[in-house]
Amino acid sequence: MKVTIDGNEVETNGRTLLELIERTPTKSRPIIMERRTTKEVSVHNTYVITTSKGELTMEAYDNRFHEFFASNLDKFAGLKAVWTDKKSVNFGTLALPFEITRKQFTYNRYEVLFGFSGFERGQGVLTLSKVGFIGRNGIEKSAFGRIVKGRHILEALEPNDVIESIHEKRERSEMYDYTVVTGENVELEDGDTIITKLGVEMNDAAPVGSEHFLFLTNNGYLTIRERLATYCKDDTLKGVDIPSETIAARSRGSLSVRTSGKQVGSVYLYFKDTIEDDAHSVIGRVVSGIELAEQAHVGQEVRVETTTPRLNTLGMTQREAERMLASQGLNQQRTGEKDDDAIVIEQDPELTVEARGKGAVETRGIDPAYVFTVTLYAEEAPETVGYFKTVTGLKTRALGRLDVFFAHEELDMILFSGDTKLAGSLHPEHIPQGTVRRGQIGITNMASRQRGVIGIRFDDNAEYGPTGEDFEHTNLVGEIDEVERLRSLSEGDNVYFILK
Amino acid sequence: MYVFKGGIYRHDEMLDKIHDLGGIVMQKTPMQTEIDIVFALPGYDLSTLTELAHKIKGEIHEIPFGDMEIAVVAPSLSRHHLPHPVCDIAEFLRRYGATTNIVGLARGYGKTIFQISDKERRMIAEHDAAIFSFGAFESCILEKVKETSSIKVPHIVCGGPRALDTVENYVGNVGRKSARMRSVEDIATLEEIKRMLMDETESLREEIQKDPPPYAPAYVKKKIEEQLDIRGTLGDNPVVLHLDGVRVKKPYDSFNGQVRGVKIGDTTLGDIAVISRSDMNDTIIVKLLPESQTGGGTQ
Repeated sequence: MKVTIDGNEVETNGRTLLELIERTPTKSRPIIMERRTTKEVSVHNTYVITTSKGELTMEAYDNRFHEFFASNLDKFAGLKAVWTDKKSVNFGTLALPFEITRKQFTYNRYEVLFGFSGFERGQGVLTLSKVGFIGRNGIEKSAFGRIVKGRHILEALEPNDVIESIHEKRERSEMYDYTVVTGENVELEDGDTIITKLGVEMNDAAPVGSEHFLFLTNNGYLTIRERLATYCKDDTLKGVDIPSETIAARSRGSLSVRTSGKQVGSVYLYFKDTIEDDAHSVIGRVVSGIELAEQAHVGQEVRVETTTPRLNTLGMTQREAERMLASQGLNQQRTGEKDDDAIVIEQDPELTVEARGKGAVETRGIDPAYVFTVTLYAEEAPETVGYFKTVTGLKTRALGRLDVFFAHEELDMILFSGDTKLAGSLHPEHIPQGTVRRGQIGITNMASRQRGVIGIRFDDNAEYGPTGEDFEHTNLVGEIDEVERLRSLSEGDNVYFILK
Repeated sequence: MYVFKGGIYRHDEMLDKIHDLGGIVMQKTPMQTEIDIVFALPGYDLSTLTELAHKIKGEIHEIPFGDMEIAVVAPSLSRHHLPHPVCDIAEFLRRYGATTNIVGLARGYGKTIFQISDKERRMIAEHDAAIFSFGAFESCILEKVKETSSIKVPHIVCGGPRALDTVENYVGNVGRKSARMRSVEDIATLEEIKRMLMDETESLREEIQKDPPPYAPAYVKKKIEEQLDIRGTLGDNPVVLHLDGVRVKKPYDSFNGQVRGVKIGDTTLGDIAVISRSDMNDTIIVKLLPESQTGGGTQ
């Protein structure tokens, strides 16, 4: 039995679905199984008339003339246009089994009808009308259809043009049966298609947008936060400003990032062809497995595999960076602290697309003494964590930075610069209860004039928060290890953070 | 075409959502703390917008004639036939999004000498639909209605007698009026005109959908407005939507080249449309060709 897994045909040899795939799907990270049945169905009463000038589509009426037409389709193939004029194109001649009449009848524009040339039974014609007209066509009210597509061809048809074929319109209808697999084993059938991931190609014309997406899916997954018929959206990075790089039509499979509005920074995957928009920058496209995102539910995560992996060494040691870059065929140039253990704090070029284009990357290292591991209280203080990540840069990078704003050897705390404007909407959240422990990071909330300042205490304190404010003016956002190392810092120093 | 009616507060969320869904905002009208947003939208996710509108205490309504230009034709512009019924019909249809033009015929006065000239016929044919208001007298209507048989666009006929069995698509109770059509009965008549017009144009819409143009007229309008300097146009709606194209209210001789050169996708408007001079104020008529003639597009 053969099945297709992410585009590759695999012989099952008696193995089950879960044995065939790399990872076991879970409820939050599902895969899908697609069973396809292709059917060809006739579109009732619709005919395609192929002429030497092009194709016409006719929708037929329900009457005896249509019945005759439908049961004698082969007789009409090969007929030549015997005459054309301003009103009609007439193909003939052939014998028709209808009564002859000399009365006149009204016919509408684009109608298809039978007639007799010279009122002779053996001189039947198939008439395609270009305009509505009143005429003596020889048969009573013989219209049996109407041209609905390709009307411009009527004007192009000339005498001696031929009807090459007539057939009833058939449409291939592809039926899919999807099963969202979330862990339990599903019985396979020959020809099943398993989709476990989205294959993504980034758009080199949008280097910043591409980096944004690569950072978003750094853990290998895209989270479906909203799913509509037109698109699905991951708004994890909502609020991150992104420049508009490529405004283009959002076709099925396009990945775009919003560059303005409240949803700025959110990433969209389009399921329908959609026009371009000034607020959307197209950053890449899904080349395989889009059905996985289409079938997944809100809250589920879908695996993403990009053709170009992210090249970002921030937060790595110089040695780790060298290995990673070498694995991608890039050279490393070390600057700053060059020891193997030094932590990379800057990379040039920083964007994956540009680094790949240059072929070499400069990594600036720093003494690991200036780098701290931080644990954030994402559950208890989501708003404050968002502020902290934005100010430090951890929202879009693996390594964040704070500048020392105030430090003194006799003071048992250290203060870092914040963003007063951003903190203007920082509500009181996760306020200290009882005692603030050493190493806890506090941020002055909007209730105080000094809002936005970030601080850490070297000792426990039951009266004031890490920024020296009352508890009600303080939001606790996280904590760091190795607090003692902070004592040696002074104003103007930079401190770096890596998420635990 | 749809309209969002709601408050200014959080209306930006509605605008963002329309853009996310590939919609086109045609018009924004802020009024103190209220706003109307007229927009075109592909049909997939309207319910999402309706939910959002509900959440921000607004409403979304469909505008049945938002993409149509409709001619309201009176036999003359004299007080014999104007002003009330024709103006009331035109004004009523505008409430449902239509752009209406009132046409007074040059030789429409008197049943025996009634004519619609070739130029008038062409002018009416530029519209998506027409409404003829033929006055109060049955004998007069029966004569004049013969001339409408050569009108190719969907049309309805209005007149004074309550019913005329021999006249197709007829609405009665719209004869000579000495006052505005504001009574309950008059409003019901106007509703009947609207309903009949919707029925008539629905089949035209369906027909266009069977062989649609490669780009929606709303998108073509957007592109023209982006690429042409139309700010100097005196009309309040310089690019008028039709079911199968647009009217650009600019002089044909000076602007038809620019209109032809408007870039849409990989092509120009001149390649996918027939662009001709209108008989109405020398404006430009853009009729989009069907997909079977031009190949595919993105919308």
